[in-house]
Amino acid sequence: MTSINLSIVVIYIFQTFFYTLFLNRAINKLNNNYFIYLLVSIFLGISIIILFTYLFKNNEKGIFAMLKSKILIIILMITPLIFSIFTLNFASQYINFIYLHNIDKIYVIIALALVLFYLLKNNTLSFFRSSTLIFYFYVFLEIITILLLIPYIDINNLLPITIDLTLSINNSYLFLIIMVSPIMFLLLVPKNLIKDDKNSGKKIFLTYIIGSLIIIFKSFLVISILGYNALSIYNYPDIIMYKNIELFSILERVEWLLCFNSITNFFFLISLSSLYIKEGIDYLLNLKGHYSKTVSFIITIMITLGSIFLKIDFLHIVLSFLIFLIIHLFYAIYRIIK
Amino acid sequence: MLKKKIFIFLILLITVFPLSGCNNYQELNNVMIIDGIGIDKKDDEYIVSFNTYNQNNKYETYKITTSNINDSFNKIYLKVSKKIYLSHLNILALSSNLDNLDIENIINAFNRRQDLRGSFNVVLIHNYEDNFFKNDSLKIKDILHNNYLEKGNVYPTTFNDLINDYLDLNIAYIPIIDNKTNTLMGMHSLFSEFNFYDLTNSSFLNLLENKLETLTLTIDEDEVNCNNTEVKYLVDKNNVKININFSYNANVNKNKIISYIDSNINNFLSNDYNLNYFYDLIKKKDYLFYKDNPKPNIIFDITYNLSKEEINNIKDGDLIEENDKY
Repeated sequence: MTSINLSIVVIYIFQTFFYTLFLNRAINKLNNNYFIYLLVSIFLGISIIILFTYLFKNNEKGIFAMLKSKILIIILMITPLIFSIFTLNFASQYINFIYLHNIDKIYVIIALALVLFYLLKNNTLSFFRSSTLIFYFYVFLEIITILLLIPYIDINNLLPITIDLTLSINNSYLFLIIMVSPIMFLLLVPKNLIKDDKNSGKKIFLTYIIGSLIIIFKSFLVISILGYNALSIYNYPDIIMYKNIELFSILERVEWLLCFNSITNFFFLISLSSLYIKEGIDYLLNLKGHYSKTVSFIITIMITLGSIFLKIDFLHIVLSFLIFLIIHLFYAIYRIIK
Repeated sequence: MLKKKIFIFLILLITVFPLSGCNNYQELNNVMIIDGIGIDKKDDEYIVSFNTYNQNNKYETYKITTSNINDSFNKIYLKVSKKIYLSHLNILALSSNLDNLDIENIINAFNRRQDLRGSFNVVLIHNYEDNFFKNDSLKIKDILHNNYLEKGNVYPTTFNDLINDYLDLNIAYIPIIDNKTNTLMGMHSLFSEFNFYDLTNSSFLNLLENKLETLTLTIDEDEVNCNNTEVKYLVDKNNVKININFSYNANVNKNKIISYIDSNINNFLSNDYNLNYFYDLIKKKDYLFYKDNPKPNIIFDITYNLSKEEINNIKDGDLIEENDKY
């Protein structure tokens, strides 16, 4: 496994909740200040990347071996559990909306959970390899999407661009929690597992910048096509945007194809957070890779049942990630002082 | 190895049923493809007419009386016991009996439908009757589009346009059709106040708001076809410079055309025209000024740039005026 495999996952993480969860909330709160807000948030997000790269440098056997404290590890594992339950539920709703209107959500959750189980029962490497393999198709589809959307751009929709720094800083938690924080899950990968581990920090930082540029470009695209006001009322603006595509009255109703990338994003994010839980259980019970199927099965069942029966709000996600980040931050400070 | 193969086979088998929709598949005969929807209001109740075609290729209209638009989709399902499919909707016809609140309710109800695409046309119907859809709604769509392409009196507003105008400008214009004579009457404004524009005024409304491609004017019994219509705006605080460009193909003096359009536009601007479109322009171009003066007294400066197209059946020098500047 190389640092490229690791950094490609950052791109997936960045895109996952951009259209669906982030954009609607950000535009509702910031309206025409959105672009300055995005720049401020990206700048503030670098602090999380610095925290990540510092911890990754000292991460010889994975985050759990580094922390050692069992209570801390259990607290840390709650965040990905809540997050994966939330994401699976969200992904099933999204798939319901775009593909399977009349099918019960439970069927979609079970279908996703089966693939999740298959991915979990293999080792961490297979996750990173599959994410890299799919990345080629992912990029191809992204380019097609952008090309199809270019004729619908109206620059006037972006205007006026206003600047309110206080409001931007106050709401930057949205970007930091939804888009950047899940990158911390990558700490489950031990440094020793990566062949060119010296470059990992740099590559993650570079991918963060590339991911941010993609987000800025996508924001430009979606706002110039739909406008601020329309964006604030739609839950899935990407689908509404793709529904506009109608080239020469022949190429239309392509949203079902273009939305495939969103599902890939959802799936990899669920897999990454589930892998985090799996590695945590592995370390806590000192399983050393044994009983992989049993542990994967238990995690899959937990997430599946959770997404069917539990109702997790966005507030729960924000709180759990705050605790998650604070633990990492204090640990980093503790290490520096020590 | 065999166990693994059986396991993978089982996974695929279980996945195939929910993903292919085999558990609740729909035969085409059991799907009701809605072609047009008409909505009227009588005694505080909505009367929703669903136009569809049956198996004999004949059009049928089902009437539902309800207090809630969302509920009408459930009621029609109970009435015909077929799955409602709105993806091929062509026309949403609104009765002139509906008020602004009703139209907001309708927009909300339609926005919630997952199978709906926003590209269908919305029209207002004068003298609305329950048998409005005498045939397929494509004919109404054709009337709108033919007029837009050939005459340029009305703009065929789609549902997406309606939502965007409602959100951005708090006013939207939709074409109005008289049900008795089956003819286009002009454009009607929704949301902020109800205003009617006849065919001539709606041409100038659409021309001012840069929605037209072609425009046909009748000046002293001469028909002037204006093509490649393009309007450019230059905004400086409360001064709005409008530059109207088009090419025309008629043997009419250029100045005559300009003075005709100019007098009509000025007349149009001085009569109850809602300026939200231009306030929005000022907001976009000069936000600092707009912030202090959300509704400034706009000073319009309209210039015209006309170019004459060649007419093949007239010899050079016959009645052709020079392309002088106005």
